[in-house]
Amino acid sequence: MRTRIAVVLGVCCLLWTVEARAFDDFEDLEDSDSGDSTEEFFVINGFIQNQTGIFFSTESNKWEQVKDDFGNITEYPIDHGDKLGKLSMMRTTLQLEADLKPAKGVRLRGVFRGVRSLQLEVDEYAQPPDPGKTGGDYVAWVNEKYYTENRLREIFIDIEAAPWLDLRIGRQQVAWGDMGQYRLLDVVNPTNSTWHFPTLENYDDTRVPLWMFKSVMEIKPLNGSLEFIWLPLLDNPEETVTVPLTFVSAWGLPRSPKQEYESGFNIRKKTPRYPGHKIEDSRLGARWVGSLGVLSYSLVYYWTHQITPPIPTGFVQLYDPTRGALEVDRSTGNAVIDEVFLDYPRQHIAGFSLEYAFQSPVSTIVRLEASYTPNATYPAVSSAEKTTPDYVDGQDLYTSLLTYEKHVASWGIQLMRPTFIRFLNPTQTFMFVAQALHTMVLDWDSKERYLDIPNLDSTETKQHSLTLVGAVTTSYLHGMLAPKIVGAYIPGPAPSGFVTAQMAMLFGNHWRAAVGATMFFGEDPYKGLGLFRDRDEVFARLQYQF
Amino acid sequence: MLRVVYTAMAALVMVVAVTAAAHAQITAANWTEKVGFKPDANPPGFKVGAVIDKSNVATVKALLPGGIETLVSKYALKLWLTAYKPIHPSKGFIEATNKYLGQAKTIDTGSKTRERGLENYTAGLPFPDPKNGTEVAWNFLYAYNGDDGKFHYGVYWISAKTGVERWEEWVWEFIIRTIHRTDIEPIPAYDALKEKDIQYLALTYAVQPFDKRGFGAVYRRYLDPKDQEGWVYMPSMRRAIQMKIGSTGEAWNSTDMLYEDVRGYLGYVEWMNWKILEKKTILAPMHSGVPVGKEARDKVFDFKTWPHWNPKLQWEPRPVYVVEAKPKFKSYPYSKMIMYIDAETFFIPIKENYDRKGNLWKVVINAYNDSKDMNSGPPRIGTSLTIDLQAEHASAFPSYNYEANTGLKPGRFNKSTILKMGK
Repeated sequence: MRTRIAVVLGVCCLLWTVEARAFDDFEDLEDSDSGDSTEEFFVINGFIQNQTGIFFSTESNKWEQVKDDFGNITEYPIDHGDKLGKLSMMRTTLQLEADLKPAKGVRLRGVFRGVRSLQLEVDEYAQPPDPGKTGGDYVAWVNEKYYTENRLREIFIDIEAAPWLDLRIGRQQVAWGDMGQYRLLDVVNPTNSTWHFPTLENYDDTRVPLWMFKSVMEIKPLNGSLEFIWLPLLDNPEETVTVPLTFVSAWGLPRSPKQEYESGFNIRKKTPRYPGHKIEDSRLGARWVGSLGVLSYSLVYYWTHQITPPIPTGFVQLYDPTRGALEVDRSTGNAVIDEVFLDYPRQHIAGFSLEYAFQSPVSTIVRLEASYTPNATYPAVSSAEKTTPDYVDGQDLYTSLLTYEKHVASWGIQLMRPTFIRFLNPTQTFMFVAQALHTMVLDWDSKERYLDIPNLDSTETKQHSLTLVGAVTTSYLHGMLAPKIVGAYIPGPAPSGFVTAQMAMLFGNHWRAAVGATMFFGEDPYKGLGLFRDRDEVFARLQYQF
Repeated sequence: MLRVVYTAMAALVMVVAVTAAAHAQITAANWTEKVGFKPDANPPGFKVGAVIDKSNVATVKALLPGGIETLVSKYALKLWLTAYKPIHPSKGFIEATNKYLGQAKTIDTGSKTRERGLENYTAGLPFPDPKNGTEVAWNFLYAYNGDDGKFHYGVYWISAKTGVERWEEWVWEFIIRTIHRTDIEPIPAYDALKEKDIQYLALTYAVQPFDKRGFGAVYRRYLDPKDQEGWVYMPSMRRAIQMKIGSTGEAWNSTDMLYEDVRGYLGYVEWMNWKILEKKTILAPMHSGVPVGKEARDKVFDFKTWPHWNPKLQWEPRPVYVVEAKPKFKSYPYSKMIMYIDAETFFIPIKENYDRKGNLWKVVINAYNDSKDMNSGPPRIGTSLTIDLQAEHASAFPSYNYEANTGLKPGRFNKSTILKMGK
């Protein structure tokens, strides 16, 4: 690790020889150095905050008992819950952000985050990759692995290498795309939203920073800039992909319901085969950002891995020499799967975004974003045919699981309008936001059956899916109170969605607080946002910043 | 008949000659009487060195706008009196005023708010010796501010009951004259921006506190009275998103000040109906003697003593046009604004805003310091203060540093700048 850091810093030093300057929206009009009176050699800021939440859903746990041919009874969940009154989170975060400006055109930035959390009883229902534990073990495992953190999240150097070239090298975040919520093009960094429902947290906090090289080249004649990123995947391989939401329970996906196909397998271990630490696993991307008058646009291409969800691609059954056959569970007679492999296949993502602000009286900002993936990989439903080679007696058996590679296109539109409702708020606008997202499998074949979420047959992929989001926010008392309401709706045969209401508060320069409540709804507890219908929550955040 | 024609032609020539001679005579020395009028430098009750407070405010009542008198008599504001000193703009601005004299013409836009109300204006003061409120308003809009500036300042939210609620630190950079320039080349305009009708570029960003640090915006303003357009960098998203900057009648950053209250009036002339109520001498802080810098803010504002917002300023007799501005918009927070527009600088040192019921709501005070060199730079921003008399709440803006004519270039005012300045 030290060697890698030394190499990166060495490259930085080499590049730190050329004086800087920037970008120019207007052709032939040079940039200027303003002689900034606020420039400081070293600045450190940060905050300490506590987030606490309690589930208040009355949805209850319901189970169905199924008797097999041998009279064995197996319980399958037909609803999920058992969370009423339990903690959804109790998380304390210390974050420190430091900026060092050792020379003109050079900046070093570091962000440290330390997190401690209480163990949450609801994590007894987590589904970690090694399921050979008891519920209590899961609680400790989730807390240690996902809720606890002590790390330098970001550490990078910015170098203005030439009047037309800026470099950023180090562990960092890259935010592409222009729309909130859907993140069609915000795909460079994986995310970790295990501690809370992702919509309620800042992207800044949920993105997992990665080591990368980023350059931004200004191309004046075309009135735009070209951004290039290279991710050598020096990071811990587990952090190069989005944390699967099955691994935790408080805000994770519930246990799978009774599958259409009863496999009769006992799974001993799931092994994610994370990409990373190999040059061939590098990820590359480029973005062109330009403007045509007041129309802003970007074009994006990214060669990456499918960072979510992990795709089960095969499993191994062990040869049991004492039986002279493949291993079985002697109590149930079920075949034992020793290891299931979860893969993150390679993926291309291309897309574009447009942004345009209409003048009064329309006074609306319109954002359009679209992405195309020619090789999105989906896992087949559990009843799908499996590819099993001829068994060789006396050996372990590897079986491949069926997956589908599909052409997928998504597009979203966002309308944002500041609007006065003077009798409610005389001098502050209400910001209304409406969004729609449509995803379509282009080479759809109704005979093929595959899943949005592996192992959840209830999430069988549809040719078209639509999500609608609305939000409104304003502020009162000179910004000391800022109410916000956000809602999402997924139409269809089993409609689902959520509504969250939040009040953010300022107290002086140091104290910040927020309280809120979120309610989920869904006709089917295993479809869409119905997966979270046992997660109605009241939450509070108290922060001291310095 | 021929004699009549000759006589008429001779008269015309004389009028043109006299007019031209009179126009050519605008200089730094006679700026005041040529473009506005001189104040009464020693009005009754005025005494250099006196300190006006509640006990003796009656002696200068005739020299005080009603809002200021209220602040003195009810909110313990003190006025330190100093002698009148004339102010003139830079040589370049005076030259431009002479060069383009008589060319600018107002256009009657009636009740329309999105149509341009001025034509043939190139640079300098568009209407020396203005004849009506609209001309005074255009003079304010194109008053001499230099061609660009950089303002590093604090923002304080203050309650009369509880004192300072919170504060922030901001920087505001602007090319206030991308066209109509007089001081720094290119004069009179950046052609590329003139072609796009962009007359103003600004970059603003927060320095403190932590949750605002990294927030920034770049925006542009057009010759046509359109909404300001630009990008806002959101640190929590790490994105710069396109936004309308400042909806009409919206508070700036949740302060007591609307976007249109900035610098006295940051809206478009076409958005209001203007009327001169009177021309008079009042006391105003045009050489306010305000110390600048973070260390000096406690010397400028008495944050500790009720009502916690009073500034220590020097006030002098100033010639002002008392101008009433009534919004053309049906839905606007103010029913009218009374602006005390300085007849030398055409700045707005004092402004009173009235609510929809016609009651006095807010008083705005803009205090200025001497120019470093009047021949090359404008008066420096000293401080600004907006007081909401109904809520007994104020927003104060102490100056940490202000420089004009710094040579800012348009290339700085774009999306990539705020992206680089952000996280």
